[in-house]
Amino acid sequence: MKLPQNVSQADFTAALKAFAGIVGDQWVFTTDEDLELYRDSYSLMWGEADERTASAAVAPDNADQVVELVKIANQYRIPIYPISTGKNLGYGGAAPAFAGSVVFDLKRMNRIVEIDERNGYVVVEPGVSYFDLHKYIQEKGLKLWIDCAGPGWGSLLGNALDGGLGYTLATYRSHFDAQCGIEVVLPNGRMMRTGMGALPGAKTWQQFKPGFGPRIDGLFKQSNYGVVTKMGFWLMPAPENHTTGVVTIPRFRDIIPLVDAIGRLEQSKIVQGLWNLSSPTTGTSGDGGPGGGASKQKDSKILAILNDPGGVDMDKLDAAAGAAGIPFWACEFNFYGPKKLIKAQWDCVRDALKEISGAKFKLDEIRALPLSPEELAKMRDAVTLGIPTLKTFDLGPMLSYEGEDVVGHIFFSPIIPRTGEAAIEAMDVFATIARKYKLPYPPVQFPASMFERAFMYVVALPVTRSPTVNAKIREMFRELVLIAAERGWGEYRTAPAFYDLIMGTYSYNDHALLEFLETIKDAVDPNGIMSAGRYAIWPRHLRDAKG
Amino acid sequence: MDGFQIGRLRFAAACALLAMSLGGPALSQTLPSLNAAPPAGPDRSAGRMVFYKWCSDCHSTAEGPGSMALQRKYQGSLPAILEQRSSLPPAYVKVVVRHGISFMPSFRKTEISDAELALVADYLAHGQGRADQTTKRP
Repeated sequence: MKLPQNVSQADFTAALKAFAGIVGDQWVFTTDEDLELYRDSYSLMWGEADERTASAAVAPDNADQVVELVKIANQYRIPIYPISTGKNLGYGGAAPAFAGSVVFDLKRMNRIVEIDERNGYVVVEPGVSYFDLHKYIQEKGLKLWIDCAGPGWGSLLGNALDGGLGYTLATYRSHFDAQCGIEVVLPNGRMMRTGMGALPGAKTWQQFKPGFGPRIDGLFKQSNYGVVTKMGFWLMPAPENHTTGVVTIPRFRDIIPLVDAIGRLEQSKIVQGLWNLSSPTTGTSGDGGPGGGASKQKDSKILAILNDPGGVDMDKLDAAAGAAGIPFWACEFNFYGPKKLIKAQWDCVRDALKEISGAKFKLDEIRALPLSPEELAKMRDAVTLGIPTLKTFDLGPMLSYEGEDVVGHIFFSPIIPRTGEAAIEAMDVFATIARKYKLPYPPVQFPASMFERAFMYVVALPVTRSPTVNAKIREMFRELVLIAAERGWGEYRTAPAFYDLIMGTYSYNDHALLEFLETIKDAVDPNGIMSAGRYAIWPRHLRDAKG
Repeated sequence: MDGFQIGRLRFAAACALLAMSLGGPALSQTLPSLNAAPPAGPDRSAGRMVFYKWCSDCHSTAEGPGSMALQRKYQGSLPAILEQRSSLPPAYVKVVVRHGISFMPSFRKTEISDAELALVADYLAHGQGRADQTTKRP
């Protein structure tokens, strides 16, 4: 049996017995066979001495049990690591950030505690997945939509706490921003509610985010200050219609006025649906869902430029596309709501973008919702319609790397300014690194616009079962992080293997932010039991041990 | 709605029994939309339900990521859609679910219990090799 660091066998045995007394023997997992299931399938440290594996797992059924379990963990100084559905693949999965932790597997806590159609909110436990909530809403016939992460098996609560994103309207896409009200078991075993939830009998816990006094909900995002056992989310009223509108722009550098104009539309709340950039030069045209894959371009001259081993020369591509009459950019907007609203929004988009010479506009058919199964089947993915899927695992070309089968992915995802200039710079910087390491990378890759005021640039990196190849990927990741940081670009989220690396780049004024987070950590979790190391926040005794 | 031939009450009762016997999830299980008649013979609706919930999004259509992976692997020598296979060894299904394979991660016992895994393995072991056999979300 693997022991948590600095815990005696006698104490561990006693703690496990006490855990079983709370949840029942069948929900305490200690065998090697069972603990295999708490490894991160997409770990870049698989099979290495530093792989972060659990010493045990405990699966409570409700928040009261969590309270008791945390008290026991505190008594015996057992490091614990709560997970929700454990499916944030590429970001740690079901494995702890600190090896030897006891995973608190909250998947069984899968109750939809409250859902309110009139005020548009839901309160969920950690084990509720997007699939679960979507199914529940369909069965009840509620006129509500969810905003789901790419993989539908993810937890609403866990994804939000990890800073995850979705695909519908801006208000709902940033999942932590869409939350309203948290119930959390603090490291001393005391339960707390944030916002209006602190008022006994509160009638507006999910309706008023600020509450009274400091707004502390953000302390529970990407941190380790408690076990979140309930979370409220604002939900979107099911829209009447949906459509997409595509604007094509002829020249490469037109991306600069394009992004500026769209920015004004978004800041004015005129464009609220997700918009996606693609380049018809690569032969692709999406349907609004996440894209990717190899070039489908048929024009041999353009194809030769795209496949140039020295990298895509954007000036040459621009000229070749112009000669072939192919616009460089296509920008697809998602619109939702009453027809007259969609038409008005589209008119505003046209007015704003018609100043770009050569811009062309096409509004697709406005279709009443819900779409028929046949219509849905024609979409590459349905996440823009608030329908959870697993299509995101259809990643296309990343099947092998350096002769090793690819078994997963991690994402390098820096936040860059929402300008065309920054997009051009990022495309060049990251394509150069991708070429250097022969990464399976599309010839022209674009920034994503999920966040309202900043771009996110995503580079997917392969995960293999070869320690040698994985070590190379880790070095590649390190290079990407440091090159981005030199330009003032930081990651919004990452895998446990890179928590410390990335937090190290958020170093303003001699790491003042991390020092503040550690001060809070020491105050609320003096025994350092809770999710040690998550997002680089280590308890004092482990900081001391690390020197 | 579909060609699922098992009566609603009988199916719901099976699910309720399953949930009770497995210490099942707090969410209520209800009849899924199933797209084709199940194989004849013993009632494997409970296993089919597990398949629907946990496997169908990747394995029930040719465009599913799991089917695409199996198409690459077998190049058409075996059906890429799992339910269209005439047989799958239960032991193999159990190993793949508990250990993962390729992009497919492992699944924990809090997600798919041993009893549920046995049901879905039994369901897939008794496929009829029918080209129209799929179970997917509506």
